[in-house]
Amino acid sequence: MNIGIVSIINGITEWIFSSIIALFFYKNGMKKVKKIFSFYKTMSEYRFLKEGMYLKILTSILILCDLIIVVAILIPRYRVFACIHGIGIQAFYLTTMIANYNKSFDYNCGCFSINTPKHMDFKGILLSLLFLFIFISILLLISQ
Amino acid sequence: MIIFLVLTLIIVIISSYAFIKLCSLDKFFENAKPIKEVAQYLTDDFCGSILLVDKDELLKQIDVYKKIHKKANKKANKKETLVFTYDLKENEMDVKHFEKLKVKFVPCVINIENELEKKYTSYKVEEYLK
Repeated sequence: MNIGIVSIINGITEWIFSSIIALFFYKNGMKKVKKIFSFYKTMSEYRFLKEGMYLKILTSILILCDLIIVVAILIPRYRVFACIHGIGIQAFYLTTMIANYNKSFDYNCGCFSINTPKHMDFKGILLSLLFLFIFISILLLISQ
Repeated sequence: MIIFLVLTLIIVIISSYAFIKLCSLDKFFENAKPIKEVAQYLTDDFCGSILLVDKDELLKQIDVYKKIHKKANKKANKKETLVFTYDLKENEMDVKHFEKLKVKFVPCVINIENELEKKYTSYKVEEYLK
């Protein structure tokens, strides 16, 4: 009986977390599509790749990754894949954020809710860490 | 499974659209010249339109200015429409070049007619958004 209740609570929590992730990544992904030039210029300001074809491809792939997470996390069968994918994406953004800590980005429109803030501060990093934690939590809930 | 395939297809279409849009916007931005180069392009026989805009503003609202450029080009009967940017924060001297184009306000679209005498007509960009 207790195992059954715990399993139901786990299932509900998994769905709540997945919905939160899907909602935020959808909002962020669509904003990136709409303001793609601002996102591209922000990526160029991170200085891990120079402006050009490679950065354009990477920018499009990052948007694609956001949208893949939205779809995959809502389908229980692909949730593990979405979480591993999400952990990878969050790790990438966290690395770039830490590398550019305390910098401001002139070309950033400030409209992206997560992972690409206008000013790289502790709050932005904490928010990205929170999403990383949610991905890990979902993965742990699935494994139980 | 079918739903997943349809959604994957939608995602691929959106990301392809994003890539094409990015390439087109970047090309538009790269084609915008700094106002200090205006003399090079504004030859005696030049006839067409000029979109004059702040560089930061162009970066922030590039979609809007691309539409304005398209409309200005259409209005000028497909004569050449050049984009020039100024950056008064970085280069205060940019304001000197405004005189050459007889600029009264910015951002603007300047229509240059070249019949007997060069005629400059400035339009507010808002007029192109209607």
